[in-house]
Amino acid sequence: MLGWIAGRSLRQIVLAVGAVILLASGAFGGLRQAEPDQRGALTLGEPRDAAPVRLTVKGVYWADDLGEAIGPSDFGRYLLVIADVSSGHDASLDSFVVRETLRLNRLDQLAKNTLSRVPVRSEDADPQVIVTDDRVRLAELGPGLTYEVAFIWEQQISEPLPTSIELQTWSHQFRQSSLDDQENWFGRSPDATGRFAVTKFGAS
Amino acid sequence: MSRSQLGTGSLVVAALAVGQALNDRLPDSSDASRLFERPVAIGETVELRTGDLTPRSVEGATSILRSIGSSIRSPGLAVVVSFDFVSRQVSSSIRYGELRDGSGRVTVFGPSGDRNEVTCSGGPVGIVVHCTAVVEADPETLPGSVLGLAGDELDPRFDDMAVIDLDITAADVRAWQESEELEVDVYEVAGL
Repeated sequence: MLGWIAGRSLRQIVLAVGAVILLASGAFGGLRQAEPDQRGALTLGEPRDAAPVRLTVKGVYWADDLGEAIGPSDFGRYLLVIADVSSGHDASLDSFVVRETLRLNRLDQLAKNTLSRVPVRSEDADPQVIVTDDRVRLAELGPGLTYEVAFIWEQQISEPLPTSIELQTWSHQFRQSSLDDQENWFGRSPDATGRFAVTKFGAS
Repeated sequence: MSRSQLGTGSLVVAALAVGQALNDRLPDSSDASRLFERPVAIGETVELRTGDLTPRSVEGATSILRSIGSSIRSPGLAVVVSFDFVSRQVSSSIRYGELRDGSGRVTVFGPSGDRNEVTCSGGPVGIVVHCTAVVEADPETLPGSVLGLAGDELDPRFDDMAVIDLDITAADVRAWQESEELEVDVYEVAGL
């Protein structure tokens, strides 16, 4: 090995070392400063910044029927998280950013979303986000406003009722789309997790 | 290294430098595709590419009841801007809104937002339609706000946008915070 190296010119050695550095660092995102791991614990009543949303979990519940405006579940049961949400960004956030900020972990047989009723794993299920005060969907999260919302999923009744649920927050990065020049909060990455007891909605 | 290799290398470097210089001097794509802003005050009329827009009034409240039956209660204030629109060549709509508040923050909304909503579907050419834009905002930064209205919510680029000076004062904000529920007529064709 040393003999082979001794037989190379200085130019060849420099190029070879450069290629090794490029290939080895490229696999881990290059030589840029790596972001520190921000994952942490999600706890009841504690605000959590999952960029660009600030979210405070206030309770986790289940229900068969959510009454006026929403009604009974035609899929099975509702699983819902009541939380305060606000934004630290200087422009309103599209609904998908808020919707993708919170996910249920390790549950099965949830409706994929309000349009597609295909049962999926909870990590792939999109919640509805409804403002609790007037039961109207939150389509944009405007700057400077804090809403109490319900993140609502539906689960098939054949699944056992969970006594506790693991929640996960996801943060987003503001960047240009890889397809066109629009900029938005693309690129989700996992943030914090926490396990919460589930109680019947309205039972307290 | 031969003279021809040196020449080739120099040409490559020169081409890269010219490309970089051009890239630096050409307008950024988002800048080149920006909307053509047409400032207008309440009561005045502005000519947009697709028709004439006249802002009529600005109101606000913590809760509103739309004439279609839905109501919202805002943690801030719901601002309601009434305006008239007359299509010019073909039936056209106003489907894009953006509120720029007094601190420069922006809320973008469209025709089907449930809470924030611009309701102005295309009426017959030459006929006035009464339209509304409803948008929730932080009361602290409402004074100094302007509202942008344009045709297409999916891709408003390159088109005209009416920029309405809402002329909201701190006194307006205080009055709206203490007001009753505001009833809003969302859309109406004049004379029908």
